[in-house]
Amino acid sequence: MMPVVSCLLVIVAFGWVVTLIIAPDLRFLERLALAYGLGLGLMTLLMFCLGLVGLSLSLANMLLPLLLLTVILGGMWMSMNAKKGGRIDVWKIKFELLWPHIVQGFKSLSTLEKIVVLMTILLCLSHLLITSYWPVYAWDALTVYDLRAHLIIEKRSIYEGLMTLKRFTEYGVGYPPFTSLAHTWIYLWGIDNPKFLYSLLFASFLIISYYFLREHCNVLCSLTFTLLLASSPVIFRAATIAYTNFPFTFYIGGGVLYLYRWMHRGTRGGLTLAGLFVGLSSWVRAESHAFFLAAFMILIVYSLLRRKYLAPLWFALLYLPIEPLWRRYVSHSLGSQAPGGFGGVRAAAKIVSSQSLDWTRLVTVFDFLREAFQGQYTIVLLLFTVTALLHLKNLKEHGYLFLLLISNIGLFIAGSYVFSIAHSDWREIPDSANRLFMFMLPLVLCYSALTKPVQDLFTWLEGLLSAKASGGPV
Amino acid sequence: MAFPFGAYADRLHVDRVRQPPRGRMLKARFAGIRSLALRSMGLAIRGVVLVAIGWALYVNLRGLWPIVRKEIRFIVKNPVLSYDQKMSAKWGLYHDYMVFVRENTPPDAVIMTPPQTWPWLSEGNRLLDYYFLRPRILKGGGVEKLEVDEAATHVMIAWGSHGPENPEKHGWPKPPYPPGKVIWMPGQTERWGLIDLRENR
Repeated sequence: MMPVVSCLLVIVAFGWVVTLIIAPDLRFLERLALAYGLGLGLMTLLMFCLGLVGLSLSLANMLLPLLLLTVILGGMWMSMNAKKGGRIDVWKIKFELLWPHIVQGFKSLSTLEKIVVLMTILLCLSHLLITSYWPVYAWDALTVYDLRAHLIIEKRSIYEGLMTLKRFTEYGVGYPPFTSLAHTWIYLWGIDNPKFLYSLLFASFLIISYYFLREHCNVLCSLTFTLLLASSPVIFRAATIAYTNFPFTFYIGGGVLYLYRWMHRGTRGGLTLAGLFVGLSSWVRAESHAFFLAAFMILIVYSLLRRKYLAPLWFALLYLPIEPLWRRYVSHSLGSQAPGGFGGVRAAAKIVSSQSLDWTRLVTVFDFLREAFQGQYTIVLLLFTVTALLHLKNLKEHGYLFLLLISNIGLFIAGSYVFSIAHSDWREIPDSANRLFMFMLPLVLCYSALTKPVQDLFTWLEGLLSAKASGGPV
Repeated sequence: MAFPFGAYADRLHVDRVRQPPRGRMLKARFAGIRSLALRSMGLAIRGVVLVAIGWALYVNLRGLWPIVRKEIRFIVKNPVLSYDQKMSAKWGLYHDYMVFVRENTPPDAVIMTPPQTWPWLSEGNRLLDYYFLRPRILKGGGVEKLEVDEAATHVMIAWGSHGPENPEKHGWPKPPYPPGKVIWMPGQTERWGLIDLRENR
């Protein structure tokens, strides 16, 4: 138990000081969730960089630079705060008030809200129980992600570990390293099952989504849609099997949500968080490029209209250094080919522009996607369709989120279409298509929650519940 | 007392002014109907959205409940299992076979594996085998006929863990086996085993 707590504390402490510098105005729970997610992603990035400069992979070699960086960043934040004449409290936590505050917050909820909170907590606990019990067992997790982590640990070097795999097979060598390095971090501490990391990422994502919703919706609405997200079987299951799909959903979904938060409310540090999140998504899976480009284009339109000309530049500056890091390493140091990259997007655009749209193929692709999804997204997409249709008159409201969402869905369909042209065996991986689409789910749910009919409904429900609670006329 | 004509006339005048003309009355009535219709439509929309959200929640929970229940039931029934027992529960015979191969070969063994076609989709997946058997070296042993590599020290005898039983298709390699000591997996004689080629080298 002690190593688990220690390895988590190190990640959260590192992420905590990073979030303090980037976004000082966050609530405690949201900062905690963000600190974990961001800390984990940036920590794997740091592990890679330390490996790159030749440090052998041992706990001391990874831990000391991480702690040093945490102290330096904490010091930076303290000096920044001191200059502004604010309080110097590096953690910004009033521990003695924390528990009473949580209890008070829970007591202030209505019965229905309490039920929703308890259900969500129950789901998170079941998730943690499942991941803590089962070792890594899913096919791709064994053959690629966890295998690489074991080889890296056995060879005490990222390079040697991957070269051992490469001598055996090229398959999986070039896949982005986030999950393997996260597992490596856990194995370095002598813990034999790294899957609890995914449960914590799952809980963090729920918290981040809740606070996103809370900026626009009332408590009941935010809680209900958070429960909808938590109870989605496709997300719940994907987060228990140590695949890259859920972490990818976490980073790209979180990135889009922070980007929109920044666009809508100008949240301090929102753009930086969005850039880092989308950047880290490229550290998890190779499919982030097209989605980054979509967000980037929409950000350009936004910044031209709002005269925030430097915003797209900053967003790209955060994404672009992370994105090629792994691909360059794979091609130059390992002599293999990494999947993805902007070259893939260019090639896809070339295919689309060089031939006219084949409607029959498009219908076949839709048919394939319908079969691949196995009805797992039907109800959420239906909810989205209903709420979006009823929201048509107010489409301008949250228009940028709608654009971000629609562009991502459009890109997914276009990507599947191009894939069907470029690969003759495209029908053989329905599971991949199914799992990749997963990151749309939180965006779809969040957009649905923000639409006018849903807002009206929950305002009405809130009034109804408070009138009942106070004994007044309903 | 004189009749207050003036007051009456004034009231009459006021009433005439207050009383809307026919068109305005109709308009007001329409406005009332419209507001009623809008209110009903608002209620209907609320109903539709409420049903959609409730339905989505129900479908999610109905889909998730069997998964969670199955997992939690298993965990409660088997709270303390070893790594190999848990993997056996997930992978079945395939994992038991990997444990058998690991226990019966030295770390520097070179093992011939079946092809990665049906019914050896797992046993023939050398990457998957490698996860359990590393640092042993694994080599593909040919599809139609066993082709023994010169460096090979062992050959897997794999019945095949996928698909319905079909003795004609299942079983790799087909006898006669290359010269060597055959070790059968306990309880799986003639199906799952290992040929140790070292004695004949």
